[in-house]
Amino acid sequence: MDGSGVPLDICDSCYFRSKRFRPCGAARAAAAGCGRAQASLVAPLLQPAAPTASRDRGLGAVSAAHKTTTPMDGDFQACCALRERVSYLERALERATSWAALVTRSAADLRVRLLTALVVRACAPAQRPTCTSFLEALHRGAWSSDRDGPVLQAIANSMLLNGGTPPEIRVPLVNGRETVYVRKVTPRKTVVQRSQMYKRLANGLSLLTDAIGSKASGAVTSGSININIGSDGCPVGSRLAPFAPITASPEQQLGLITRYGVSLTAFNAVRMGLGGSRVGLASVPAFRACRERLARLPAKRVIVTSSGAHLVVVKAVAQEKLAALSASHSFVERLLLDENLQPIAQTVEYEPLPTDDATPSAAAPPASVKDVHLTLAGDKGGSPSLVKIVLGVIK
Amino acid sequence: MLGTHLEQVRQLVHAGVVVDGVRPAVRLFLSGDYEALCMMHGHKGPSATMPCLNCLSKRSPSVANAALDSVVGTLHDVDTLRPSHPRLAAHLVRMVAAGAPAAEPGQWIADLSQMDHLSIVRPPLFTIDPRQIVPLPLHLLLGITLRLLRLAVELVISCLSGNDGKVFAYSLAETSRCAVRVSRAPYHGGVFIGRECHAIAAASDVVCRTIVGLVPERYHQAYKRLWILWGRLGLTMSRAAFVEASEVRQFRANARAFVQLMKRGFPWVSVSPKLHNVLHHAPDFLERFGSIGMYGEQTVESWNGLSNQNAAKYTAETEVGSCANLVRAMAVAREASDANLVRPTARKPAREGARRARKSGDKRKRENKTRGGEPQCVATVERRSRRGGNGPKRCLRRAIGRWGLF
Repeated sequence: MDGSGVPLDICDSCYFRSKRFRPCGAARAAAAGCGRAQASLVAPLLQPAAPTASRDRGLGAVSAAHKTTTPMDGDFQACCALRERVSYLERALERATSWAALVTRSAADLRVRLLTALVVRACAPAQRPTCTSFLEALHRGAWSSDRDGPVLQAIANSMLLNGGTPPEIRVPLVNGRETVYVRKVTPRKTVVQRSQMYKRLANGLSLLTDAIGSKASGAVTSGSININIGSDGCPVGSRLAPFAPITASPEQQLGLITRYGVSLTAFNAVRMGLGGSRVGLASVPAFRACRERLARLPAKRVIVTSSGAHLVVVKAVAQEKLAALSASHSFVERLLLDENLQPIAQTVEYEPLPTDDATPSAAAPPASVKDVHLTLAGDKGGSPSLVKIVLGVIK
Repeated sequence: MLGTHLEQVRQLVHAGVVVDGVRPAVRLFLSGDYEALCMMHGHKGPSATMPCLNCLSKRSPSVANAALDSVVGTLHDVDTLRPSHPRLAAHLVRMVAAGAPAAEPGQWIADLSQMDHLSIVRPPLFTIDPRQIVPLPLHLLLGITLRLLRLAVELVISCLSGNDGKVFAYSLAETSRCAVRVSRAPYHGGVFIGRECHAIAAASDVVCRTIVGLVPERYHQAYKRLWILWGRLGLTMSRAAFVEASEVRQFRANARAFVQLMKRGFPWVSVSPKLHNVLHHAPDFLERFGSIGMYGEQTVESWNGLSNQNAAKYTAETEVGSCANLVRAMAVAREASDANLVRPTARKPAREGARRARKSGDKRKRENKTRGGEPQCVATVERRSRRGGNGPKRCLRRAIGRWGLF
């Protein structure tokens, strides 16, 4: 040993490396001996694994460099590897022992479950527990809250909703707490607000028919179910009475609410307030179906090009608008005026020219020819400059 | 953009449409702002030598083209009953067939004389009768209302000085804002919208009183007469209905009196294409078709407002996607027929004996609403004054320029 406690027969780097390893037990004793004979006996049995050797390849190279100066480096290297290998095997043994214990427990558990299943299958048909036994078991807390809690709650709800049950049900839990189910009676008002009117409507529908959703609405509309919503004292019902059924088709209703920018959700609220399908207002699913059906029509198709969004078939659009005007008896013939401001009668039928060229006379026929006035308006400015071309019908 | 639909419109015009089993012809009217109409006709624009789309009148008389002036006339001829040389569809057809001067790479407009190209430099998209070009009632209303307001500033400048004109321009803007209760819109180039133009014409007394004492009485009377005539013209032009024959005749007389008074009473006023349109082509259109407002460009302009109002409802990733959503929605909205759109019950009049605001100090009157200590939004007031501040500057600048030029 020198003055600082470092052995004289070992280099500084190997000494500090041995201190970093902190060997224990037999490995520490072997390291203390550090004999060449011991290392030669143990080394064949406890050679470090290849990854370890490769991992310490750099370290070995350093040690080889030291061999030329210190003859004890080879033995110390063997001792270090030996200690590392021993600790590795100890850890592997612990893991194997714990894994064996786990597998043993799993096998025992599986055996118990198999035996239980065999016993249940071999027994006679299970006897249904009586209500008394169920209640006793419930009071004993035989069911755990985690697994059976939802089922117990469903049972309690069914009992409370069906009526004729005790005023309250107490379900003790394994943790000592107790869940109490109490039936609360909500008094029905004589004059109800709108939301409660809907509840009454739903309750009446559920009592009178098995139909749900749109089927129920259809049943009310067809008259197979007659539900009197408005009572004498109900201000809402008294206001509903004067509404006459709406004759507009769902497409026309959809066109109206789209024109005025009303969303389907907002319209549904209005519809429910007015009486729903009783007054002929279409439902939201019906509107969605209409919208899909309309989107497939040629006059409704829209394409997006580099110049903007356009209607695909302008001719079909004009034809559709004129047909709608004619159907609603809103189409008016506009006669041109002569010099004396007297209308010129249109007596001549229009005959399309055989050629496809659009001549001036085609767009400006004589005053006596039956015509339809269309405007083609362009806008080069505008704020925002989005709308550029509009084709209009002068009715 | 029009090229997408051009061929379909031509086919529509050629084949006609079917209404109640009958196939009537399609009489196509071209409408829109002046630039769009010029583009459709391949016209050079409102600053061309022959700026009118309906006739060949020159913009102003010139020494170089004195011979041409004597033949076709100018916009300043306010005494003629009708333009001597109306445009014909045959010329448009010829320009389409032969190619416009600037249609081919080797052609130049300088190679042709003015009487050959008639200020049409590109092939026209449509070759319809120019009498079916709608005389732009909305743009006439906006432009001439602003021109009349500017005329008041020019009057003050001509009779007093430029500084007085500046003070008067701001006082006129304040009068419009407070008394007439109109303010310039941030769009339309910072001018008044159509409804406010009608409001100004209806309250023209207030506007005319602003020049009392600043200008000679004859100018005041002439200016007052101009506003009265313009109020009648604007109402007839903007009304979307067919007018009676007597009103049609009165319209022509009023238009003639209006333009002649403007030109003779205020000699620095130049007859613009809009005034020329009011003088000649708007009465012609009204006499031939019975209405101007029904064919006007309000339809296309209102779509801009519609897209503005519904921008939040039809949002998409891109602007063109938003436009496509709007077009789809409006295609669905066409399903509502006119019978559905008619309101079944009209608004009921007030009941008999209902209290009305008759006393001058009644707070229900508009002029008393903001003076009784009612809260008023500061931001709204500032925005109005800010908008009103830009208008007088522009009006003053143009008035000084016009007066200086004269």
